[in-house]
Amino acid sequence: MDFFASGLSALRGQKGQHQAGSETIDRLCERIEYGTLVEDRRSAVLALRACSREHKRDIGSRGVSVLCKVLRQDSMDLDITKAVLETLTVLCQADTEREGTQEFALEMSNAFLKVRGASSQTEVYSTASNADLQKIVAFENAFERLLAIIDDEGAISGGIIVQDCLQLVQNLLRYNVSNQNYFRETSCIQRIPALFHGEGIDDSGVHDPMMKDAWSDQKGNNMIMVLELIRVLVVPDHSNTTTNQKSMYQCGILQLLIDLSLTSNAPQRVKASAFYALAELIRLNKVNQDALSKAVISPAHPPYVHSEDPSSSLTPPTRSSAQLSRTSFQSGRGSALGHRFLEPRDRCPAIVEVVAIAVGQYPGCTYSVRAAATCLFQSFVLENPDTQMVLATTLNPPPEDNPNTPSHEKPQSPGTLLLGALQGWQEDGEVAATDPYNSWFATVLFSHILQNNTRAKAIALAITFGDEENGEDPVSLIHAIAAALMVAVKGGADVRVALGYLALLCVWCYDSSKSIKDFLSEGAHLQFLIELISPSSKEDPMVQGLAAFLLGICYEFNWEQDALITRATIQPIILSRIGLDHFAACITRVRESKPFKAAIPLMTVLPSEEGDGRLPNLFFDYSFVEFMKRTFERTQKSIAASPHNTRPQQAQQQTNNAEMESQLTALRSKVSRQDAEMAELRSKLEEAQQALSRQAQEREEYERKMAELRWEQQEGQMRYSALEKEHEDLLVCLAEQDDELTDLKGRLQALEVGGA
Amino acid sequence: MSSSFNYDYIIKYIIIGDTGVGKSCLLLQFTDKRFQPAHDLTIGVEFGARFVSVAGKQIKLQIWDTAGQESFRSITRSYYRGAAGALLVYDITRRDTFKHLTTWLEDARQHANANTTIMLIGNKSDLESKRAVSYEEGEAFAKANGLFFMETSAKTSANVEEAFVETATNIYEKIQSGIFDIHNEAHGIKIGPMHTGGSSLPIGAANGSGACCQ
Repeated sequence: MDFFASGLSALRGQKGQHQAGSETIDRLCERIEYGTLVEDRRSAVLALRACSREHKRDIGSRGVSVLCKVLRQDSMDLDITKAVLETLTVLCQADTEREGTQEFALEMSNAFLKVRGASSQTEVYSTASNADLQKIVAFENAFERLLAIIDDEGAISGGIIVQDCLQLVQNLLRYNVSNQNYFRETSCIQRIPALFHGEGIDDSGVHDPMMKDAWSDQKGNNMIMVLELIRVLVVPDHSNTTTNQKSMYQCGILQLLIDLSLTSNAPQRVKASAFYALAELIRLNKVNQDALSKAVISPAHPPYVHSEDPSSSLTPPTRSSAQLSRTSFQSGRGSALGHRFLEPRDRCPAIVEVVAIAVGQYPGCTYSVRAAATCLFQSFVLENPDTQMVLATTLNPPPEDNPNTPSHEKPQSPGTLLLGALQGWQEDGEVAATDPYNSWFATVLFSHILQNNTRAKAIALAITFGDEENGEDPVSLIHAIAAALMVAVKGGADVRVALGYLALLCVWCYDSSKSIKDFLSEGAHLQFLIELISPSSKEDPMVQGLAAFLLGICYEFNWEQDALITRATIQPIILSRIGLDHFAACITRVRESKPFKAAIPLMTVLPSEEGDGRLPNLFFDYSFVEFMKRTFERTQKSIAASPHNTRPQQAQQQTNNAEMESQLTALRSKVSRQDAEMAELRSKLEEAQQALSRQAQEREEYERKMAELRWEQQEGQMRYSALEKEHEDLLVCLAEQDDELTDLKGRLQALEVGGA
Repeated sequence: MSSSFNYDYIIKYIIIGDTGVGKSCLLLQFTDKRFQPAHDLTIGVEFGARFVSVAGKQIKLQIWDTAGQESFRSITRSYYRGAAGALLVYDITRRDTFKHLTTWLEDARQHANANTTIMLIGNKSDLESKRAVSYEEGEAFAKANGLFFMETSAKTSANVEEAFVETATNIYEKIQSGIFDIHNEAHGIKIGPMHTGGSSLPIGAANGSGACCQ
């Protein structure tokens, strides 16, 4: 059998380089198929692999079934399995070989079910890019089979196979609308909830009910894969998203995500993923947004702060938060056990907990989780003016204490949490030094409550602090924020703190003359902005840029007649102390700064960005960046306009326009949704009509046939009766003839007798 | 506004009930003595205040008006806390608003104070021709659940003043009889500077929760 062992080289040696490739492939395939010794089969497979690049077509058309067969047969032989999979992978890259690829895909989808682990990995790799392959595999009932495998393997508690299968499902769906439809139409979305509930199986595969709450790394990976799968189906602005959002709400996925992100003890990376999935699940969907608004939860215990860490007491406060976030990555088993001994926490509205996480109420939370929670909040208020206003009204603190609950937790509303984080900066110097992001996230959330919402701005303007009855002067909220900004800049706080406050003030004052009037009613505020921007200022260029933008807004929309500081006051100061060129340069510098350009739609902090005392590179919220890009040019130009110009009608209209526009967009999206629905219904109607007309045709046909048959029958009957008559006639005739015959016979006899 | 510094007690109220039963109109009639037929839907929580006189004492009523919309109820519920008085409102022309009273009552009992005085109010009594819930039914529900009961009209102002004042009177009686511990703000009562019942009262102990009134 040495001959076989020498494999391809022997073949080549015998017949040289010119032997037709197909012949070689045939022989090798035969050997793989009929070789009785495993060594023979192995060497043939290796040989086939060696020439797979040159003879893709031949192997693709003839070899795949053989390879799959041997893969099943010799799955215990590592060399064979590996070589087969490598060969198939090579074939898979041959996009031009259409036929071969298709056949391959069919075989492959059958094969991976037999040899799960290894070949599903190949499949994962091969399906990632080829849309045709994706379709073929999907229509071979791949979803059904994959979900069955995942169930078998223990859902998210399963091993790497579950992860691979989930990855495969995801590959088949991503960017492939037809597969997404297929997935939904075959009721696969309804099977997603089951994926959340894994069995308690520990690392060695032993069933352990106590392990149900523990999170191994693999379980975390699997869960994140499930969450990614959900996100693939609700990609923002995708035509299928609304329908999928509805299905997911109906089958309970929304509630599962709320539980996973807010009440479970999942590791923080899983929670971050869950927040993003939830954000996309409720985005622009009133029903789903309402569901989150109504949700009341028992919040999970926040990640631990490990106080026994000997270094923590020695390190400066700036480092401690990073250490907390690092320890919180090691969630899982340890913390799960730890949590058991803690008392249950008060139930609270889900959105309150989301805000609490975002603004840093729990020092152990990672920035990744906080950024993800912020995204969820944005999605919650996006194109939802009612929610914006409700949240604005909660800036009024709820009454304190509740004698009916034993807990001593302070009553909290989303608004009061924001106020706490916004002001906490001033009250507690140490906290501020620890984490500039507490106020930064609060300003982002607050901006989203106010953005484009005149009524929400009015509610916020009416908020004051200070007990008038105790003789304190009430301070309005906008002044409190301006004061916090000044303290941050003068105190040399991290630049993010000032950027957050400035961005908030820009959003608040934009197109709101009442807000500007209140903001400028304290002369020091204008003075402060001018100093920040003046050419001699040594402030960070980004801070200067936003200050210039804010000043521009304060000029552009300063239309209140009885304002303390009017347009006529501001313009000369800008022209003389700053100059138009420098003013424009300030705005350009912030727009060209790296952090400004780096802002992305879904605010994200990668785990690699945090830890070891580092702060992530979040400086600007993406929607603020968009807002500034959209408006800075007009604001910049307006500085040059005369202060005595009356309020342009256009601007006045724009106030209304802005509202109308938001209504319009809402209506438009509704119309487009209804359009889609109508189109769907229309196509259904058309189908039904077609079916109907087909049936009508068929019926006509039948009727025609029936008439024909009836006619034939009639004719037959007529013919039959004619024949019967004829028959009778003939019988009569016969009888007559019989008579005649007898008569004749008689006569004949008589003649014979006479003759004899 | 000079009178705002002269009161014996501040009492916290909440007004709850379905959307459109006239909660905000009742408040507006009580605080401003006017009726606004096309009142905007209340969003979130709103706030009003007025002084009333009970047994010669000046009492400031601090009233939280909450939105009836179900989708935001989980958020607005935190404002029920610490209320000494609650007006539970239904619309006598809409039976469903009467049917939902049980839910509202549970909510109030769970989130407010156990000793909270609750006044059941059948509003829109001016619309007799459209009545869908009889006076007797309202009265029976109130009796069964230990509530005070009144029918009011925010439009004609019939019984509006009485509803708020009678609730305040009952709360004042509870204070006098010691059911409410006035030294504990959790009971929704705060003692004012005019109060002469004791010299060591925690006047300055308030930390801003009552400072948002306009």
